[in-house]
Amino acid sequence: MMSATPLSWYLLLSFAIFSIGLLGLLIRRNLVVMLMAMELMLNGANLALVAYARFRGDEAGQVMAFFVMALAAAEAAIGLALVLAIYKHFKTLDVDRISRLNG
Amino acid sequence: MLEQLIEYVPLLVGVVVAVGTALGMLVLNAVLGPKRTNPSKHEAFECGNPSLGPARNRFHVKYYLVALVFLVFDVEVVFLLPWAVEYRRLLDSPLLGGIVLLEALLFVAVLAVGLLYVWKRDALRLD
Amino acid sequence: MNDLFLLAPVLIVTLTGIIVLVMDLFRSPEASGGTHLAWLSALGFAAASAAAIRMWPGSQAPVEGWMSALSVNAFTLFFWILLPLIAAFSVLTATGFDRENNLDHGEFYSFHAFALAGMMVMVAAVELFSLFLGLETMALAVYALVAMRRTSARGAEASIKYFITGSLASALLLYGMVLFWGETGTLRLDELGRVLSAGQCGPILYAAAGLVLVGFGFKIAAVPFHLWTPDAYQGAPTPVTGFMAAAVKAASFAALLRVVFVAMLPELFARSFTFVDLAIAVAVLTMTVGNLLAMHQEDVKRMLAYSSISHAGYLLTGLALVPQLGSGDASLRFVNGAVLFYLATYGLATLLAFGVLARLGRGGDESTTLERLAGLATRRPGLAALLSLALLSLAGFPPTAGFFAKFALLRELVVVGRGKLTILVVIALVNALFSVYYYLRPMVAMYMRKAEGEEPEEIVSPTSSFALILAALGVLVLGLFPGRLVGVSDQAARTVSYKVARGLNDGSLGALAPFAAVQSETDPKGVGASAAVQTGSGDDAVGGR
Repeated sequence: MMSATPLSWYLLLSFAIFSIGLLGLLIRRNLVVMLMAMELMLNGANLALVAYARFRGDEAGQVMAFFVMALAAAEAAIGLALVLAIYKHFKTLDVDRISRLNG
Repeated sequence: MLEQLIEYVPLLVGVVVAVGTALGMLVLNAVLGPKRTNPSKHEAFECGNPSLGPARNRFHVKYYLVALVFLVFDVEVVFLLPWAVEYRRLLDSPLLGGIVLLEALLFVAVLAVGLLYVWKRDALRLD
Repeated sequence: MNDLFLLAPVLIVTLTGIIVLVMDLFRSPEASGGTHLAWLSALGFAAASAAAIRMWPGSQAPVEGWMSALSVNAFTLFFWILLPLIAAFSVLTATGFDRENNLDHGEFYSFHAFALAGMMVMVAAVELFSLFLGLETMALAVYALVAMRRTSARGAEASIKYFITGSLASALLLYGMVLFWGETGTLRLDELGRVLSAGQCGPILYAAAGLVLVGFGFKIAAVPFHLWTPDAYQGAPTPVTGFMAAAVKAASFAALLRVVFVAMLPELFARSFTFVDLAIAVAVLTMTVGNLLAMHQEDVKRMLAYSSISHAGYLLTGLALVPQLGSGDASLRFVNGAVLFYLATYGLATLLAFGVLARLGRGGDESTTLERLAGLATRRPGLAALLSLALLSLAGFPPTAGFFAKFALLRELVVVGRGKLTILVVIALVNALFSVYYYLRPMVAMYMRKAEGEEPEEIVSPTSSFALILAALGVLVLGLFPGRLVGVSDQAARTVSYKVARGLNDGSLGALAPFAAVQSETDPKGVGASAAVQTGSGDDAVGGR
């Protein structure tokens, strides 16, 4: 039943997804894209969780993945609400132009 | 490991050829092709009709609220599914047998408070 | 079911949040003001704190763990007492401010409750995933709290910046945890500690440890990861800023201490490149950078944000300040009680400062500049005195709690560091001296300058004044009679520990008892000596399974 694909491949893929999310978050300036990047990071972690769970034969990982999914949804809900608030005040979603606090 | 990979060499060659051809065409086109442009070339093509405004219509902002609420409540079900699958087995467990139903009801009750809040605050009203 | 009673404080807080939310729904629309909701939440929080006090171990063995994910020992209880009190003060000082700024009362107070419940899970967690869930519960509620002032563009900006850095930190933390779990098959901190110290530490585990530490670095605003702090603190509604600076920071620090001491230090201490050096470097950077940037801020809120960064620097020395009983292979290292004491007093003083600043927000006025404070001493002498007391405590002047906290921490640096940390002591001292400059600036503005043009008005709120006066009394009492809290924080700190030796029997501390006398030198009232002997029974690393 267990496929021949070794664990390290899943981990590499999960790391790639996580890194794409991380880079996206650091490089892109559009808030919605940044939110998507955040989701990518969480999903990268989720993939690693599920892969480990499969290979260790330990369901705890899948349960944790459920929690992470719920959390990602909550985070997305709050993030999108904040994005709406930002757009209402600033009429832009470019983070570099959102700066009214003196720094 | 290596033997397994060798099987995939033809696939690799195929991918390289495909990507190479596509890229080559693009490069050749950019280098050799004539460049003439006019404004109508930049318009969206709608089968010959002149286009009417942007394609991305806006939804009413209230709709986002419903979508957000849906997003949260939708995902919460993820906790009920494993519970339902394991329900019979949990009933027999000495530790959780008595409270397994109660726990799920508590979970749903907390969600219900959330729903009540959303409802009373008129977040579900679309008009 | 017994386990459920152990969770009583958390359940009380959660229930308070739900009740407040529902009560707000059925409030008649013409009834204005949410003062009764503030009192209700404050009472709920106080009840949670009281329940935690009832559970305080005293001289008996500490309370056992909960489903192997949470542990209710003295360390946990210390924060279960402290955090609800901070939250209670925070909601009470927000009355008046919420009315003037048109905040949504029900949401405002219940988010405090939910954030608090998250924090309480977080500080009790002895398992990384529970810790993460607690942290996220806290963080999501606080993001919303920061954005509570819907008409304020600055609030939205602060919140989105906080949200982005916060979720970045959580994602890093999560990925680190996943790697830990995948490689070791456990997320229990003590088991992780054992696996890590068994010497099979591959690069993946180092990456995992790094990710977790960086995630925490963001949460506590240690220096390379502090950039979000000033914006988030300045743009948040002022009472929320106080809550963030006091409660969020304390909870994150508690969790960090537990993770580092129980899971990571056993391995990291064994290396030639010690984790301690890194912790010291970050601590020094954090306190210095925070202080330097605070110097020239014209906005008091922003100044206090930088000041909170520098305080995080002092607190971070706690990672390097590892007292131990015994020596060599047979020693036990634990968290320094001075750090917990510092967290408590810093939280109190910060709450007081932001509580007074919140009173400036009349009619949604967002200005908290030094100019705005000019002439406050003649307009509202009481508020001016309270703010001065808070600033003096933050700066570390003698009759206040802040003085004793700094003094105790520096003394620990000398005693525990055994002379090796002299440079750190000097740097911390110099930093403390320089910080006096910027803490005095608002006082100069209040007492020596006159308001230019029209005199601004402050919010009138008896409830807030009541809470502020209580907090001020706390700052003074803890400064004059610190003994009790020192004893309590010492006892709490000692439950988070690990043994250096491998193969030492659990609870074999009796043999180490003579060393307790050495430890008690650092404890003015000698409370520590009695506490030290009972260390073995309930700590995360050794017993309780």
